[in-house]
Amino acid sequence: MKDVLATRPVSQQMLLITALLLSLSVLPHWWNLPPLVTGAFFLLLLLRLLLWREPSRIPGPWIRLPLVVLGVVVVIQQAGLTEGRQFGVALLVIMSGLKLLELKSHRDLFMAVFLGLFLLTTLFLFSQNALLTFYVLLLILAYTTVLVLANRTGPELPLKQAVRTALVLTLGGIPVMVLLFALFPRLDGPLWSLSLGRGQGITGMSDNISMGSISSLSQSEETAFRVRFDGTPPPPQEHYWRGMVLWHTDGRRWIRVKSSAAKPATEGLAGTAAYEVTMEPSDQPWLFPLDRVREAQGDLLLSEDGELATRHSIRRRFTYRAESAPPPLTRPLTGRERRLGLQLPARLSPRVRRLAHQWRQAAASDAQVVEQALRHFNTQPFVYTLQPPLLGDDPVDCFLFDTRKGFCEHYATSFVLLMRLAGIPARVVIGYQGGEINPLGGHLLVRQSDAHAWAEVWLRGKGWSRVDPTAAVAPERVERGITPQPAETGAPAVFRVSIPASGLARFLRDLQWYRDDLQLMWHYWVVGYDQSRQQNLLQKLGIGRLYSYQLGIIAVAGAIAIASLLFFLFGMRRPAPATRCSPPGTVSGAS
Amino acid sequence: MNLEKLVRITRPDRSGRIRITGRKIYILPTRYGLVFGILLILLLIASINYANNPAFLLTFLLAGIFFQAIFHTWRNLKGLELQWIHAEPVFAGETARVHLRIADPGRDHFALALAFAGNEPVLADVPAERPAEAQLPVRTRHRGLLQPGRLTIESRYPLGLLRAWSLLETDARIMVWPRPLHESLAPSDPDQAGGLEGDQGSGSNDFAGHRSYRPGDTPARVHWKALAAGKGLLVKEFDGDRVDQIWLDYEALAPPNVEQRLGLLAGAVEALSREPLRYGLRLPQLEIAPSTGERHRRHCLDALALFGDAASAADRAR
Repeated sequence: MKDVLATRPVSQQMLLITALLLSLSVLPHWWNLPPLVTGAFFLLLLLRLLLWREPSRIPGPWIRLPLVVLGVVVVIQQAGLTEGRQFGVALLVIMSGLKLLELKSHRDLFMAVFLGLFLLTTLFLFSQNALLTFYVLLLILAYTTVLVLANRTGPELPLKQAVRTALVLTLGGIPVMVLLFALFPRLDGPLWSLSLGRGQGITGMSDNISMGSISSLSQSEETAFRVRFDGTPPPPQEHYWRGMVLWHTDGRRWIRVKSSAAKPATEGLAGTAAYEVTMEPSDQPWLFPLDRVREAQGDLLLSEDGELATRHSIRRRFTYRAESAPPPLTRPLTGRERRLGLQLPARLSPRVRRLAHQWRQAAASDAQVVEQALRHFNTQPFVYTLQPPLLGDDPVDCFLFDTRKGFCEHYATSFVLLMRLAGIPARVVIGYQGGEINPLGGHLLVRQSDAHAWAEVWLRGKGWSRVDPTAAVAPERVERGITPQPAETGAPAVFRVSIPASGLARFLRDLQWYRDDLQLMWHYWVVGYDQSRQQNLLQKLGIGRLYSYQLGIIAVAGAIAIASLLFFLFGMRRPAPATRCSPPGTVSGAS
Repeated sequence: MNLEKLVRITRPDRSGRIRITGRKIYILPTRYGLVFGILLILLLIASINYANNPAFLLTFLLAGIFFQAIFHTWRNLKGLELQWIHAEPVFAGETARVHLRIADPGRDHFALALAFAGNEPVLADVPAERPAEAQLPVRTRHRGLLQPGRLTIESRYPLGLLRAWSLLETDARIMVWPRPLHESLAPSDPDQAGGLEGDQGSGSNDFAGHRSYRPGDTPARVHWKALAAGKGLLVKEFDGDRVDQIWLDYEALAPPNVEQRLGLLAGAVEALSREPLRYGLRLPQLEIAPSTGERHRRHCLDALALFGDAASAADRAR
């Protein structure tokens, strides 16, 4: 029989609700698209609500057609055809505005809802954080409510009841979502090559850092390299993958200073850990062996500062063997190292100088200065965050005394600077820290998001010793890498010197930590969930290796099973008649 | 025929109730559901291609909602009980209204669409507290006791992406009277002219002559033959004292066609029933004594509707 509702005109409330929902779906694109595009959408919306408020009245084709042409022109002119993603999304936004302009029947309403759902997905092309996802989830609930309302017959809108029905449907959909998400086969690469407009091609570490450069790298879930140990791997807190040593700073950036002699790394001593590393292409010659490399295969170069490199940039997957032993390795301080290790930028604020001076005065030895500095980071309200605030003209001063929120490079660079001010030779080391053991292959996977920066100070009798000031703020970072592994939470802190005394301060810091933890968890379980983590999870669940199509079949079958199970467990329960209250039944004619 | 067996149809039980069980409900996506499916595929391809996990979440959530919608749409039909109440008789060609009671004390059902095959659908909400009554239109064409055919009940609630439907058979019967014809009430034989209109009971032919038509004259007295001959509208005048009693005789009518004769008789019954006249109906196998009133009118019209094959069936039904 024919669809009685399809040709029914849309009520004014429905028009307003749909307009509101589409606006809320477009709103976050304000930060992603040229303002003129989102502006055009809201202009179309305003036009509709001001001039054609009645749903039955829509502008004629002689108004709509020029607007369509104008809209396309705006999109082409503003978004440009070169960047496919932006162009497509801009077009979608304008189309939604035009649909709103001609929204008249229930058919239009459905199309508007579908456009809205598509718009919501495009939001994730630009940002994938937890808050946005939650926002999108709420909007999906709202769109479901609109569909429920559109399928009711009466003249009035039973909003509360519709929301309840939509809620039941959405909540019922969540287990299916989780199951499909966990099991749906993931591909290694995209179906076709993409121009995402990143412009930087391969992500990876460069040989200089400034505050903020590593935290941006930490958003990338790409694999940096994989390590296979001979025998048992060293404990997780020893997983420092040492890359470049940065000596010189202008107060903002830290750069390498080319060491005089880079010689083949064959004549070293035997290490305590032997392993094989497979590097992903990085377009750089740098290698990241376990701190500190003692011996590596013959064609590699080992610099005076202990940096390992290939002779040519790594353009394709590359495997090498090396042996390492945990630092420090005693060695006298050379003149070059003393000179470079005490270099200071031209401009330093008096506050920073005073702080270092204070520590120097209070401490009897260099080691005590280091300890004092770590205690400072630990007891003052410093926060470890993936999204540090922007710093002003004097980043070190601003970070140490004002914002106090930073990623590893903030802690490492300011720590090194303070050590140098206190007269202790110090340098920044960048590389990776952590990694994840793949239970399938038994190897350790290190991602770009494991990028890290730490410090090395020269202590008399010990030589260059590794100090990780980030650990003083966020020991968990070192314990389990940036990717949180729930099994390891609550493990004892390594570098923690003391516990902050104040209850409120601790509470606030804990709160910050929870928020950050949530972000990290989100990063780990949602944004970064890929093929290897999927296999990892399946392994834990006791389902062995499955091919992608098997996995796909299981995912879909499981989803259907769980959906029906849920429905028959909760959906078929008959509500008790006594507690019911619903509107009186209506019978209406077909016309 | 075999295909007919495969179609699952719910039939009324002995008390006339039709109960929709879960196994007799069909469900398929609507056009919107198909568009939604295409949307899901597009979103999935985009998610795979951009390896975008939140987009995967969204796509899978929408798929989950769709799965739930399947069950909820199905449930919106399941457990409903329908019962035919009655249907007012109509003349052939008119639209009859079949009254159905729909109830499910267990839960609310919304936006149900009901239609007899080939007829306009009607929407109904059925709250749990009390049964709803729907009036379904049925177009009629021929006289007789009409079985309105298969009833389809469908639901697109809650999302409109899926359509669940069930095929039902009802006990509904509609009495369809012959379409009344008012035009020519001419007897088959001119000599028997009085056979139709006059009062046979008086024993004499009281025909007094023709006079011009005055408003209020019964069609029975119109001199149709004269009208047909172009002499204007004349009315036969009777002088008898019992002219208010008229026999309508099937055999006396001119047109050879059965349906036409029945139509003429129906038209006559309709016309006479508005007059303070007693009229009787004489059919080949049935005679209804002259009387007046609504009951009598219906009795006559029913007899006309069931004339022929249906007559015996109606007798059995009575």
